[in-house]
Amino acid sequence: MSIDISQFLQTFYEESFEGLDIMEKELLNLDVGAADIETVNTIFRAAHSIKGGSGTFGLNAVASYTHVMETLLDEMRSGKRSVTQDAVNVLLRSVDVLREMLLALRENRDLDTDGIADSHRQLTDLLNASGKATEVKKVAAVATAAAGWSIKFRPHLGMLTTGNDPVRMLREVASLGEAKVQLDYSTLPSISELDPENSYLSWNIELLGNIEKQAITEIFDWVEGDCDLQVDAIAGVAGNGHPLGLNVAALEKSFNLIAPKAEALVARFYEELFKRYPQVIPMFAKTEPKKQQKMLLGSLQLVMANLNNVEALAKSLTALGERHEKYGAVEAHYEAVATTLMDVMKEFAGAAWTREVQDAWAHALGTIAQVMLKAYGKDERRSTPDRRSSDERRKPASTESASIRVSIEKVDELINTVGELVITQSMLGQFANIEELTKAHLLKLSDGLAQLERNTRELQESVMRIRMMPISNTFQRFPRLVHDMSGKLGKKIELKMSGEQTELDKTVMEKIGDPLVHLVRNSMDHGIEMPDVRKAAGKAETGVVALNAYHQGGNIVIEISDDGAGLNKEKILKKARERGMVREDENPSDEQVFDLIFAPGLSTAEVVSDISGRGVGMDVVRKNIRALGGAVDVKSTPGKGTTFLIRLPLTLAILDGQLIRVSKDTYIIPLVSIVESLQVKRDKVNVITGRGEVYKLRDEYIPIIRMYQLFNTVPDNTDLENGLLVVVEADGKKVALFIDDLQSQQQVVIKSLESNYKKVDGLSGATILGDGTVALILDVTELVSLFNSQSITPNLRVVGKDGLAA
Amino acid sequence: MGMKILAVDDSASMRQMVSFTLKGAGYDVEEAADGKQGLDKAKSGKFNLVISDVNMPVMDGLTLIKQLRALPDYKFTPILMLTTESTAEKKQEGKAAGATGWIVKPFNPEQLLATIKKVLG
Repeated sequence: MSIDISQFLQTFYEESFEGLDIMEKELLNLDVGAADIETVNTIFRAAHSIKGGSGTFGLNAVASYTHVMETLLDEMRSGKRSVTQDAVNVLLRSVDVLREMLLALRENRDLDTDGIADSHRQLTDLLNASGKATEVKKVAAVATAAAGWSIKFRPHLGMLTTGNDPVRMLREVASLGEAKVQLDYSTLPSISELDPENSYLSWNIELLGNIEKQAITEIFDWVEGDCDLQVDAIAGVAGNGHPLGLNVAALEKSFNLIAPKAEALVARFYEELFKRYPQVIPMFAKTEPKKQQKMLLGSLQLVMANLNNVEALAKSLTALGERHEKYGAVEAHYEAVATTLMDVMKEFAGAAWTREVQDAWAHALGTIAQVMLKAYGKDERRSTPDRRSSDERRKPASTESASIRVSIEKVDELINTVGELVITQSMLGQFANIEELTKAHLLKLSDGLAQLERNTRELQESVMRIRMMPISNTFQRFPRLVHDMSGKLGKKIELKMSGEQTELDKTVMEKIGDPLVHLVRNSMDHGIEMPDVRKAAGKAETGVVALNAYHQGGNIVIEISDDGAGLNKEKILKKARERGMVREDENPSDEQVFDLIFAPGLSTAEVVSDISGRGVGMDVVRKNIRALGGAVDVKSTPGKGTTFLIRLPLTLAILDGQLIRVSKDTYIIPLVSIVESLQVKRDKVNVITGRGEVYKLRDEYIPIIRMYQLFNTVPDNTDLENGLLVVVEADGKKVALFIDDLQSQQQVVIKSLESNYKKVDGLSGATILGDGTVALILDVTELVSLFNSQSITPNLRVVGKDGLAA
Repeated sequence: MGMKILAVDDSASMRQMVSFTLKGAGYDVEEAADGKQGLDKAKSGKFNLVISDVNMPVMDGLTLIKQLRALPDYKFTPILMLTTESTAEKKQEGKAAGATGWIVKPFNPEQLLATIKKVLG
């Protein structure tokens, strides 16, 4: 019977990623030196589950990797090992490695074997650092040939209460070979003293056949300690002292002799191998000879270093075997390699290559081949589906963002709403059969329609909510980031987070991650001072970076604040003047100066650090946030700290819009960008040469854009006094849009122009109105920058020429 | 027939695999996600075999086994632990708690089934 185990893999990956998140979070919670046992336990459990599952699902690389982690954690939770910062760091890194491994496996990518080996080594080093002796286990039993076995099996009185049935064991023993079973009931008490819950019988078995002793003891594995068991060979042969029967002394002596010339040796080996067995050449077609030689040398050295550490040896060889299976190596190849290698070694060793050495190597290489071959097929469960689904392999993995995890409550809510909708529908359906509507009917009908409207709105909200996820999904990466970075920077930084449960659209969340990381890094790198500086300034040595999220009027606001030195106004201004961004005679306000940090090409950091100085500036942060329809602002007080405020729409799919009319067409202005709407007073309009018309609103002069000219249409009138001005703001700059009429405000569903038509400057998309007509949505930010870059009004570039606006 | 098996494991993928494998072989399988759930299920009906993971939240496998053994209904019932620990020490802990035996992870469905078949005869 064969069961395709891959069907459970998806569940396994999901729960493993969850486990890794838990591990990461709890590792960061660990107090070095005084770790909470329950926390360590939680981490251990997660590692343990991943190990168990990965082994079961044939992900051997993951299993062997997690095994080391698990051992470490087990020692920590049982108090055998103290929790050091070093250990936490290594474990954190291994969480990353593991996550990457699982991702690679899930997406059928190649594993980063070097990185894994590297981290694996770190873990093992850490594990061995305490000098704890690693348990040496017998990997392969030395062949103990026997004509048969004499087995004495005497269950203890209480064995039955462990749920073990002697009959089962006897049955299994008999299945191994030819068995003669003798029942010994001498210890059976009289019936009056007999307790039916006890076991009184014992058995003597003579089992004939070429059977490994282990096969027998395995049967009684579960009752060890609950019975007396004696298994004696009827005739047997013993091995030598080494668990694998290796002649370690001879191997080491000879290898040390040729080790100085090892590189030449491996080169010579391949030369000889290819000469003798040209049929193996294609197997090496994909690798460079130099690399291949290095790998062989590495394997040899690994074997030599672990001759006495049988467990480690077996593990490496098993991994090696799995890899060679994939290369297509079969048993005959191992023989070819062994004989060639021995001949080449003999060539290098000269007279030192004695008969004993020859035998030692022959045996060692034979054993190595056996262990490696034993690993074959182990990986089959994974490789078989791989081969089968080679088509799927080629497909880029996009499963990650294509699916979404939704809480049951949200789905229930949705189902509820749909349920109500069905009721409303059936209520309205009654009217279909009525021939003549009375007034009462009409009243009922209007009630029904009102209900339908409510249902629809609720449905829309429910569906939107499904896309909403708590921002904790994004926030959760920060504890780690802060932990790692403060170490790197030599600063003491505490991260405070609040409002993690604030929800926002999944797409927005995915895209806000990078800008947030940048801002947090920036706060840590440039905001928070070094501990001594802080102390000198009378502040606590530990700086605080706070992340906060909350909803505010249809937007989500994310605050990133630090209690560091604050922005240096003078420095920014100096730099801006050097770059010609601010004229010498200009004297901008604090706010305007701080806003300059978002301008391209202005970095005030004196040293481009490893952390923030990665060529991505604050200008990119602002650009990315704007692309999401959001805004970012900065507030700063010298000596007290800096706060970045990000404002984002809750969703990218729906927008609160103000409908306006220009000529016969309806356009939509995002409500967030509107400052005010007003009727024009003639005396407030001025014409400035080269800058066009401006409107004096209180103390500001605001450029006027005549929308009908922009869209090349014929308006109701061209007289400013007869129309309306809508003052909109983007990037801190205001413009007044001259329109024919203001219509209603409503939520509109954004449809992409790019995917349905093409990108048009000044427009961010389109929507379909209630009456079925298409309305274009104005991109205020672009309009403003278009206007500024042209610097000539009113003849702005016409964007509606394609007939779109007509 | 109609052998009833209770599979207790906090890992959903593991539970799925165990129950899929055993159901495929004609056993009646019920699942529980931790020791507490397992104990409640075990009390609500008589199972012929219990398979339990060791490391679980809420109530671990060893506690579950101890509590099960204390119930008259489960005094002689085979209880197997699913464990990644192959050390004698860990096995001894399991046995002390009253486990019949263990299945060492990793295992494949065939191995699992072979073991179950042996135990249930």
